[in-house]
Amino acid sequence: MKLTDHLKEEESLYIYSSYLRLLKQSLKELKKEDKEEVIQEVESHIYESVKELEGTTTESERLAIAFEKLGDVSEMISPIVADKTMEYASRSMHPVRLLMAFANNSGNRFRQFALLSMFSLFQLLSLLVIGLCIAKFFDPTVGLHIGDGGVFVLGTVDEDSAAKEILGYWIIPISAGMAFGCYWLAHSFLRFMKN
Amino acid sequence: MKGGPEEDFIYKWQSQVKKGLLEYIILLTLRKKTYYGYELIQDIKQLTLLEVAEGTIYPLLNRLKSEGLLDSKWVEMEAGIPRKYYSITAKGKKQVEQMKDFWTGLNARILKLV
Repeated sequence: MKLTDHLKEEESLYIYSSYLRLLKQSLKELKKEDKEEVIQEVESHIYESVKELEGTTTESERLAIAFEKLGDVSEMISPIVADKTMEYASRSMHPVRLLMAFANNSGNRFRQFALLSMFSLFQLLSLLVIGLCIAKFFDPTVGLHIGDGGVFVLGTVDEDSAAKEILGYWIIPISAGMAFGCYWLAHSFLRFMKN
Repeated sequence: MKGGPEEDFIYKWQSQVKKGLLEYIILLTLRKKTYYGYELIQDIKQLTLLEVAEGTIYPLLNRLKSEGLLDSKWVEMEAGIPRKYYSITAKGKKQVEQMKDFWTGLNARILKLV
């Protein structure tokens, strides 16, 4: 049973639907089941609070008092969203979940920027090495070349260059391993932050 | 509650102490029986005279649950909306004992300074 089934006044229903919209908006980053659980618990709290004041004033006023006692929606929901997004990210390797966790768990703008930069760097590195794997299929000259004086070049070199490609098709599993390594670093960094 | 700089400082300090102690108070309260959110915050307010927004309790309950210190279950009510009851786990009981030892020791040391 929902709270709306218990509200009798039209004004109360209107006030509550506005509150519910705000609540749902604050919870939009959560998974459906978590979102529903939080809403159900808040509904249960408001119901108890309104019920306790029964007979004192109108239903809409009791509802307003319940909201006031509950406090700011954002203050109540932000820590829950931060914890949940961090929980999702530490369980999965999904890049969007990782980004959301970073965004929700950074104390200030500077820290948020620093964390996102570091995460983006790991992601960029992992994309670059994945790109290298794909390029190898289209152009066999792509690889790790060693030139005169021990200079390493990753990619392609001129045909007349004396540089020698040293990895061959091994570049594919090595790059894939490096991509996974970069991703793992981003993930470990997140777990470190959580702890 | 806010007044001059001195009152403002005290207000902020009190607010930090309350927030810092709330997790400990929740665990202590839940040692006695299972509670649903609304009932728990009412009892805490009554027993400790802490004035906190009622919504403050939910992020803490959520965190304590994800740390494995609390467990919860939904209970259907004959009339009204289902209630989510929280109970303390064995890990929670162990942690609260450690918190109690720390708090007792700290309090004793602070009292020596007073």
